[in-house]
Amino acid sequence: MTCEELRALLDTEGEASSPAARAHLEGCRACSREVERWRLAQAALRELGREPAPPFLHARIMAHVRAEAPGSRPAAWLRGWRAPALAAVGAAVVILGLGLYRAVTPPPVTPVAEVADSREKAAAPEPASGFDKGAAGPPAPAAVVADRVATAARRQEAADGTPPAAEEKHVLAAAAAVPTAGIAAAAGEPARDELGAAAPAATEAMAPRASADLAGPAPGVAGETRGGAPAVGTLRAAERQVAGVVRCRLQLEGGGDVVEVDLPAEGAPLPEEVWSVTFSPDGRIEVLDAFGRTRQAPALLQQGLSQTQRQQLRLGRYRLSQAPVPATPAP
Amino acid sequence: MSAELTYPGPMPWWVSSRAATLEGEVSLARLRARDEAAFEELVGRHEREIFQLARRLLGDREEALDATQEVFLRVYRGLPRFRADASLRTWIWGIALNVCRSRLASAARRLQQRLAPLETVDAEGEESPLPLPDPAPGPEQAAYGAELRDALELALASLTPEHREAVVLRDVQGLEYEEMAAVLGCPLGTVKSRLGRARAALRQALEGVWR
Repeated sequence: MTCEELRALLDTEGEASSPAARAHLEGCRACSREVERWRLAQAALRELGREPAPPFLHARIMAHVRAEAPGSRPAAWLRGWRAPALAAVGAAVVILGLGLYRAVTPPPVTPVAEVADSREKAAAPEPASGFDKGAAGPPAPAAVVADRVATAARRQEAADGTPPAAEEKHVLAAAAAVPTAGIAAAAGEPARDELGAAAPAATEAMAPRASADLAGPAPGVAGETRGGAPAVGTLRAAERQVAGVVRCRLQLEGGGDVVEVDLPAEGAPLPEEVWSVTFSPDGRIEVLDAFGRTRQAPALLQQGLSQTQRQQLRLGRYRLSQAPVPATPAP
Repeated sequence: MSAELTYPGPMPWWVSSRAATLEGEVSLARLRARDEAAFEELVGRHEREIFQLARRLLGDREEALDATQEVFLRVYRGLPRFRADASLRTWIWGIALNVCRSRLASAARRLQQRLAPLETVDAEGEESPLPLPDPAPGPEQAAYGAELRDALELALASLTPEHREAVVLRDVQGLEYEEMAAVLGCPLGTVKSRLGRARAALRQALEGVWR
């Protein structure tokens, strides 16, 4: 075997282990050196193939795939400026209608029972939930808010016969003290009116099934959660997507658990991105967008989570609240 | 989310569960029915190797991330048309190769437009080079370990796309010749001869490293 033949064998087979090759190598220093170099190069090549993919890659791929999924995008005629414009027109019609209704109908006679009921309501101030409710009412304390959630859960239980599993009811209650109103609208969050308060009736009805669209932009609604008023929502499997809310996957360092919570969108309309939020036991929080760029962590996450709450997150309970949420006895 | 295997009927007793997990793909029926969980499982199985393939073929991490995402979008779009005459994996790898090729071509075009007046550009773009650093390693790079790795990256970048594909598929990703033939869509003999030429070119590109 000549040197050229040995090099050719090395190139086609990737090794020179045949008897003829070994015989040649015993007498040829140059070829032995070349074989040794190739062996080193091959090991380094295999090493190149082990470069880890970034942790956000999966979320990024799936976000784009979901955006592609049928039904995940609004109809063409609703895209762009049309959807907000339609919403504004609708709101104007409703306001005018209510005004006309009030102008035309005489004030109703209030039965005694309802008066008593309204006194109770006055004792526990209720956030405005519609255009005809106390527009300037003070924000409800977190306890009341939590109580309302429990009541809603009980009503739901009565309605569909399923008990509200404690582990599945993940109460997110952001108290009025939180200046930037962090986790307000969790998934399935009641539609919030312009006064920034949660509507209990909507809380009951919260169960729109999971939308496949996680990454769809939510134009124009971000920032409505910043009113400083209390808001409440129930976070279940974090499967739902409502306007102004982005689903976050919380990857806990060390334990390897992935939990997901929905957070209000910050600032501008959501881009087609998913954030990955990394909690570390020392309290460091890192938020990456789907493209791996660091983003500012939502204010509530920065300020609001206590060590205990992080621990609860770690345990998978996802129970986040700014104020203690008292257990409400069943009626 | 458990793996649903394409094997018809129950797995034979001699197929270990591990082998079944490795070999079995996500159910095509579920994938075609746009089952999101199934697709997510598919992504989870292949995203790493597709990223690594793109990373080596394109030579740039960001570009590889974009390419990986594009690959799975194309997979998602193309699933209804997938005829299952190749394995799902081979099909995905073939898509990945196409995505990388077209990205390389457009990168080369961009580079040429930036560097050369249009009239001097060879329209054929004969095995155009990557927009990557100078492939000739300096004397200080001639070393082992991490520096060998850097030198290899540069040497790979200096290969023609065709040669780079062959080396990456075989020596980086560890595909068998038959798999390479299926992915590249050419006969086994062609694969072997191309790989031989590619390795010779790579060894030549690494000459300076060892001095």
